[in-house]
Amino acid sequence: MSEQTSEVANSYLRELDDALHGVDDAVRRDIVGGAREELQGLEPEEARQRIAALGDPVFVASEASESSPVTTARSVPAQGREGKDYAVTASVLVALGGILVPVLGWLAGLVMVWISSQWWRWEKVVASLVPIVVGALAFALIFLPPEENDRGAAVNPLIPAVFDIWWSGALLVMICNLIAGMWLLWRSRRTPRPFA
Amino acid sequence: MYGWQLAEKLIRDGMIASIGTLYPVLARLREKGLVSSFDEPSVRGPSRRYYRLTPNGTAQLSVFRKQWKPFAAVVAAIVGEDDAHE
Repeated sequence: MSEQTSEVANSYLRELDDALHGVDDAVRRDIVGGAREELQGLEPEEARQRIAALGDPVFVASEASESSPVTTARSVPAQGREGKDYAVTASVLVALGGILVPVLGWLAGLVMVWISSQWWRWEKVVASLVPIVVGALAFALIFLPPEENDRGAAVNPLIPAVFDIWWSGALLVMICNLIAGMWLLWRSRRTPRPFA
Repeated sequence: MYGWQLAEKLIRDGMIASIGTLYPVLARLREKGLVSSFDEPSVRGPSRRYYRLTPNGTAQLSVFRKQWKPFAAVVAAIVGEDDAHE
């Protein structure tokens, strides 16, 4: 028994979520959440059996549409902020935008991530905060008071200077952004779209 | 009961065809304050969303039960009559 959701289950949840596009948000969230509860932790074969019991996504969605108000207001603008292409663009901007256009490129990627319903809120928070925290720590190192040193003593070349810390910090932030972007892309593929 | 338990029973009894019918009903009951939901971790792993009647829901059910029997009797009397009547 695995704690993770199997690929067959994730695929079903994505299909279900897509099929429910336009159905009332709360209902859509309940249906996908309820199906996820049932599929989480099941082995692929068990998941297949449970999926058969849950029903075809299109059929479930048609029933939900008949039984609940359809929200057209959300679906039109949201369509532009979802999908594979959108996820790839936003993730690449988070990963590499800061290199192409310093700071602004990265910020543009984060804005795309935050206005999208492609990711869970906690994923957005993690992707946003990790590079900031790492950058802040590196920056804080620059302002740490230097160790007391005897006047006239030789400077140890092995101790990094401010310049070294600054560039190492910048490099570290870039690496963090790269990892965050790749992680966001991976998360967008593995989880069905939530509603943040 | 959690969502799938409800769905499984209602599907088995022929009341609904899938979870696509169940959750909109639950959402409406929740909006009216007749049902509340809460998450609880399960022994097997994933946490589940359970649904239960609110006090208002319990009162409403009690009223419905009182009305249902005479209503069902009337319907049965009408529907159950033979086709000889025009």
